[in-house]
Order: sequence, then C-alpha cells, then structure tokens
Amino acid sequence: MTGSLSAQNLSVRYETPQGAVNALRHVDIEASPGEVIGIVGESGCGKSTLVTALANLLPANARVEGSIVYNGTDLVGLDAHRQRMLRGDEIALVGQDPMTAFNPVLTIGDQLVDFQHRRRDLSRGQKKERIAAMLARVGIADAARRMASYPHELSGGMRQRVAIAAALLTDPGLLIADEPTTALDVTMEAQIIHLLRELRREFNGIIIVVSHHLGVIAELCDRVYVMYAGEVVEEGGVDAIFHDARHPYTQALLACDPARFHDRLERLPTIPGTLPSLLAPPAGCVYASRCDRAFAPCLTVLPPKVTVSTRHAARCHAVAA
Amino acid sequence: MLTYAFKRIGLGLLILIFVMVAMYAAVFLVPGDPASVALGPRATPELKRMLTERMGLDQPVWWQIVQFFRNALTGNLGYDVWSNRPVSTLVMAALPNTLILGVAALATALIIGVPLGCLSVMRRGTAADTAIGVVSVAVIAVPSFVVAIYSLLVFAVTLRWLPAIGAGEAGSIVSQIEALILPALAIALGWIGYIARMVRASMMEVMGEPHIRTARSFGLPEWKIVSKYALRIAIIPTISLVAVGLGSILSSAVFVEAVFARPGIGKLITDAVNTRNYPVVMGTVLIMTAIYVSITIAADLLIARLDPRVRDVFRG
Amino acid sequence: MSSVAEVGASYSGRQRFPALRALLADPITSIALVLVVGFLVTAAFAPWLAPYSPTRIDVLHKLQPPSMEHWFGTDHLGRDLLSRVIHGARTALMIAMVSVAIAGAVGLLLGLIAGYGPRWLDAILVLTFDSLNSLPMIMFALAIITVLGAGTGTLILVITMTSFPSYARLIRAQTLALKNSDYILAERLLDAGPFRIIFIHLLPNVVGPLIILLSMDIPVVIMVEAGLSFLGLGVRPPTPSWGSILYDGYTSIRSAPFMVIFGGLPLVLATLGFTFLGEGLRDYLDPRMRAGRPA
Repeated sequence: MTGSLSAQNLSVRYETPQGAVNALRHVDIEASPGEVIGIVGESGCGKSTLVTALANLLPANARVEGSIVYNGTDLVGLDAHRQRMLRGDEIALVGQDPMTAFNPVLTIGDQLVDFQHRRRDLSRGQKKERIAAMLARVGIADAARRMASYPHELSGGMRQRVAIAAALLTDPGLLIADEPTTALDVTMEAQIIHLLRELRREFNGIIIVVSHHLGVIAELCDRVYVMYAGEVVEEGGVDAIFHDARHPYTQALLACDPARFHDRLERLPTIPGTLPSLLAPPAGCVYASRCDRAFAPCLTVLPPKVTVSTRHAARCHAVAA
Repeated sequence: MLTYAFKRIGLGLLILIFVMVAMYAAVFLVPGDPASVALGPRATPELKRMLTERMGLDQPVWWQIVQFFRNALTGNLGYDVWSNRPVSTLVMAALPNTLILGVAALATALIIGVPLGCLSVMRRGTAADTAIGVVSVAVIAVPSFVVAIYSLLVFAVTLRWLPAIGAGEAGSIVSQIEALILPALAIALGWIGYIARMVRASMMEVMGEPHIRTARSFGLPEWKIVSKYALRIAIIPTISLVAVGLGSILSSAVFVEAVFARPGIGKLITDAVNTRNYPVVMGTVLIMTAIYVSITIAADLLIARLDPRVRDVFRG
Repeated sequence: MSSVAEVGASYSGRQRFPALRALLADPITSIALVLVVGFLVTAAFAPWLAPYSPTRIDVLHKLQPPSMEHWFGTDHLGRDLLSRVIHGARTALMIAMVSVAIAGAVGLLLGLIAGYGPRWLDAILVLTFDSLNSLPMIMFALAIITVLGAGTGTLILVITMTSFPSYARLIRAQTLALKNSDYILAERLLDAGPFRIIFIHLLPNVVGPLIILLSMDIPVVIMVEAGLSFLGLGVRPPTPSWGSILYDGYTSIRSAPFMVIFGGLPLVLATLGFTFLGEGLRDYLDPRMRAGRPA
C-alpha cells in the first residue's frame, strides 16, 4: 500500500541527566508516493533522529511533539502495539551498518523468513521462494546457498544488498535508507547506489535516503532537505539545492565537498566554528554563530521560511532581506 | 576446531595429574603416618603394618603416584581399606545417583531460570523485574543444605508427601522419582536465581546491539525478539556458567545427599573422609575431577558449535 | 545514530548509579546492613549476650521446646540453644573473616608475583590457579580434610586454598593491564622501581575490586563452614557452630523440629544479609557496574 507522508512541526527531545537534548526542532517534511527524498547534513544534525522517529524506533527517553501523518494516520501518540504493526509492513528501514544489522547466530534465510511475519497467507516454503527471488533481484548470485549462510560469511556489500532485499520483502509504502553506503568502500558504494537507482524505478512508495554524502543524495534523490543542528535549514528539488543553494549553510556544505573541487587545493575548506549546544539551542538562527552573513536579527529572531521558488525554501534572515 | 579440542583435553589431563600429585604430596608432607591416624586408638603394630601395606604407603611417594596412575588407566582405583572392595565398584555404584540428581537439578533450574530471565528482560524496569532480581539473589544466598533440611522438615516429616531418605526402591521408577524431587529442588533453587540473573544480564547486553534494532524495525513481537534473537546469543555465556557451576552442583550434592541419606558420591566420599579411607577418597576425587573437567571441555566445545563466529575461527 | 545511543545509555546510567545516599536509600541494602551489624555485634559480645554457657550440659532438660528460660529451647544434651546460636555467630564470622583475609592476602601476593614476575613463573602460577579453580571445590576440600583431619585450622586452610585463586587471577589481570598501560611505561622509562609502581599505582587500583570480591565471598564462606560442620568435618565439637547445631537438630528432626528451625534461621539471615550488603557495596564501589557498559 502506498500513501503520502507529512511531518508537521516535529520536535524530538531526549531527557538526559544533563538536561533535555533538543535533537529535532519544528521540522516539516512532505513526501508523496514515488518520490525519493534526501536528507543531508553533518554528523549530529538530527537526521538519524528524524528517520528513527519516522520508523517509530526512538528510545524510551525521547519526547516527541508535532505530527507525523502517514497515509492518513498520525504516528505520534499511537500506542506501542499499533506502532509495531506499522513496522515490517508499511515502514521498512535499511540501517547504516550492514556488518551488525543481522543477528550473527541465525542464518540469513531464517531471519528473512521471520521478517515476513506479517504475511500470514504465505507458507514457510513460499516465503523462502520470495526470499530467493528478491535476493536474485538485488544482485546476489546463488541465492539458495546464501540463505543458508550466516551474516559473517557475507561481505559488507552483499549484506547491504540483503538488508535492502529484507526491506523490500515486506512491500513497504515507506522505505527509509539510513546512511546506506557509509560503512562501505567506494566500489561497493557505487554498486549499492546503482542498485537503489534501479529499484526506485520499480518502487512506487516513498524512499527516504539519509546521508552526509552529497554525491549519494545527488545521485538518488528528487528532493532534498538540508539539516543543521536539529532543524531543516533549506529544502528544494535536487537541482535547486545543488545549483541554486540559498542558505549560507548549504552553500558552505557544498563548498566543502571534495568531489566538487576542480583543482587540487592546498588546504581543504572547512566551516569555522562548532555546532551550537543542543541542550540550550540559540534563540535566533541555529547557524548564526558560524555564518559570515549573520546580522543582528539572526541572533535573536527565529528566521522565517523564505520561499525561493516552488518547493524551494530556506530558513534565513539574509535570504529574506 | 580439532586442534582446539586436543589442546583443551591436554590441559584437562595436565590438571588431573597436577591434582593427584598435589594430593599425594600433601599426604606425604603431613606429620604422622596416615595408617595410625586412620586407625586411631585401635592401632596395633600388626594392624598398622597391614594397613600401610594395603595403602601402598611403604613405597616411595613417586612410585605410589606412578602406580596410582598406571592402575587408574586400567580402571583399577585401588581398594577400600576397610571392606577391601574395589574403589571403582563403589564409585560406579554411587555415581548414577549423583549424576541423576545433578542433571535433574540443572534441568529444573534451566527450565525455570531461563524463562524467568527472559521475563525480566521483557518487563525490564518494572516491579516484576525488580522482584525477580531480589528473589534471585536471595535464593542464591541461601545454602542448599538448609533448604534441604527445611524442605525435609516440611514435606517429608510434617506433611509426609515425599520420602525423607534414600534414593527410592530399585526397579520402581515412581519411588525413585519421589525420592529425587526434594533433593533436586533443594539444589536447583539457588541455580534458578543464578541462571535467571545471568540470562537477564547477558540478554540486556544483547538487546542493545544493532541487529535487535533491525528485528524491531521489522515489527517482530517483543517475545520473539527476546526468545529467539536475543536468547540465542545470550544463552552462550549461560552455558559456560552452567558448566563451571557443575562443581558447585557437586558441592551441593555432597551436603544434600547427606541430608537425604541418598547413596551417591557425596555420601561415599563423606563417609570415606570420616574414616580416613584414603584409596576411596583418592579414587572418588580423581573420578569426579575427571568428570568435572570433561564437562567443562564439552561446554567449551558446545559454545564453539553454538556460535558460528567462534566456529569459524577454529575452522580457519 | 551514535548520539541517540549515547544519550540513551547515559540516561539509564544515572538511574542505576546509586550515590552513597542511594545505597542506604535502597531498603534492601539498609535491611542487609542492619542484619550484618547485628551479627557482628552478636559475634563480638557473644559471652555477654548469651544467657548461658554454650557448652553447659544439662541432660535432665534435654530437647526442651522454647520456653521463658530457654527462648530457643535446649538441644539433645540440654545445652541452651540460644546461647549456642549466639556463640555460633562468633565461630562463623571469625572463620569467615580470618580465612577471607588470609585468602585475600595470598591472592594479592601471588597475583602480583604472577603479573610482575618472569614469564615462566607466571605460567606455573596460572596453571596452579587454573587447576585449583577447575577442581570441584568440595572434592578438594574433602581431600585436604582427609589428610589433615577436621578442625578450625583445616577449615581455614581449605577455604583459603579454594578461594585465593580467583583473587590471584583478578590481581594478575589488573596487574598485566596496568603494566602495559602508557603511564606505567612512562614511569618505568623514568627508572621507577617495581615497588614504587606496585605501591603507588597498582595497589590503589586493585584494592577496590578485591574488596568487592572478598565481601561477596564472606556469605559463601559462612555457608561452607556451616556445611562442613554439618557433615562433622568442620569445627570440632563442642565448639558451637550453626552447622553442628543443624546436624544435632537434624538427628532429632522428628522429636524436636525447633532445633533445625533455630539453627538454620541465623544461617539464612546471615548469608542473606552479607550477600545483599555485598551487592549494594559492589553497585556503589565498582565504577564499571555503576556506569553500565560504556557507550
């Protein structure tokens, strides 16, 4: 089944002994079936918290506000049982580390059979047939033998293929890939990106790809959300973001991507300064302390969402001015 | 895997030899000769000479040790000083009673302890979890022979539900099982707590691993995650604990057998110690140590089989 | 994802980490502390607390049920059971403390030698520890008792011999870990002698875990003493011991069940008290247990 996704004013806090960590603040996300959404940002920007919230897998000390409406149902405040019923059925997650994603003492086949537990209409044999077909689909040769393998007997790239196959086996309407290539080497990364590009043509649900890697996002996505310190600072079509970025942070991020340098540089560019504390986020713009275009209101007033063009917007006083 | 097995078995044999040599050395170092100590006031020169000869104490110590092992290899563990019956016969007669008791106790403890540990994990942080934790520590702390005496007082003496002494009539399974219940429960009680705690602790560790998150992300029900995905890994340290704990089960068996007058190894060796019956003590210690060491090795190999990661390390 | 995991771990970490106030705020630990202090006081002042001599025989009043004169009744020789139980506390705690202290000292010394000494010595010691550890403890104890005969001295020796290997292993592991740590390496480059390293750096680091281990072993030793005395292989009569009281009661369990009840109760309470106090202490003292697993 497919449906559209809409997160409105979503905030997530983690209650800790040091105080509340505001991992996510007033985030809006929209996605319709068939779209591939990219979420990009550096480590600690809240992108993992965002997808963990979407997949309903937040730890017990997380406090969620706002709404996540998927296919007409608000996931926030749903009881534990109904949340669980959505996982492995409507929503599937491909994790970032294929090395540890599978149970080490159970065979791949055994786990993939279990993961189809929603399909009560299928016998164990039919589930195995589906697994074999899906493993072949994601490019694993000798699928029958691989089903009897233990995870550690597979390479990292192969395990990530299995993880993708596992997610697809549940026929999800929302597929979340959290840093799907981060743990892989460059060749494997290219192969997995290639696989995901192929799959997006056949898949008619929503795909959300999370990455700190701009290349991965550019290759795979239709639309991009740029996150910084728990907030979405800019959103837009992939072309708009990569060629017409308006937010100073997005511009700085693009300027720091080594893949985009034309010449060899003496020193790699960096963004000066550090992330603001999520314990006490600044009153104004989260990026103000590192921004070279910051002026007085940036420090005190929350920047407005400035629409640049259709579906391209940035939260920035400088863009508004 | 095979080299590993050989290495473990070699170390096991080394330990056995070490133990017996140490025991002989101890006998040798103790002031006063064992024969007169054993005989006590009954000692006449004649009796003393006879006993010394029978125990082989007139030979040099190293020769006694060599003799002991040479005989042990052929299944001869020496002779009971008083009745002159072969020690191997005595041990073989007593061993089944103790093994049945140990296995029954351990099985009971696993059947109750593992689910309790799982329950604790599924209800973690709740009052049920805390209660299981406190009761577990409490039953570990209470000595099994006190449990044995109290259960004897309540169920055998006062309520007369179960027999107070013995191992049941030969040939009657029902009476043997009846005689097994109280001793087995007395030993199992502490182990239930021990296993529940161990399963809980190792499972809590496993529950934090990413593959559990994967299983959750596919919406698997919590009981299935706990009982299949986490338990398969968490049970591995529990198995080694159980193996190491067999020594302590044997210890409990000695006391519990004394309470229920159950004719097992514990009773055999206690009586032998009380009468200074060296050959019986030596032979029993050798057999029990051998059994104990082999179970430890078997557990190690079982762990290697259960964990495919370990299995491959040994294969490669 | 790492940020989420870390935050989650440190959060649950605080809930489990008890400060000293929390140690005593825990009702079970507090009760345990009361029990332990109670037993220590009883043991220390046994002669003054006991209403009668624990060994005074009065066969005319044997196996008397509890009464105003004899709160716990009398045993098969007419001895006052309460007085025997009170003096039994003294026996149990004295043996437990002495043997645990000796075992701790032996373990500390051998562990340091193994960790610090030449490799061949280490190998021999480790084999010794492993052999002693891989023995069913009771078999080993019975073997020693056969050779030396039952008695308080033998009991202390048996307990020492069976418990020092685990202390020695702990000390050795800590020593090895520390020996290879960067700051000890730096000290050695500065020509610090082994004694300086052992006393300034090693001991302060290993004493905490050792004390936890020792305190957790005290109830076990109390249990072993009672068990062996029950079998007639522990302290010699007429010295009162909870184990021998239990044995005397066991032989007259049908006619005088109060004897096993009053003989067993202090043993149960003492092992429970020391165990739960040890648990509380460990949670409080051991920083690794305190923080849970590092995130």
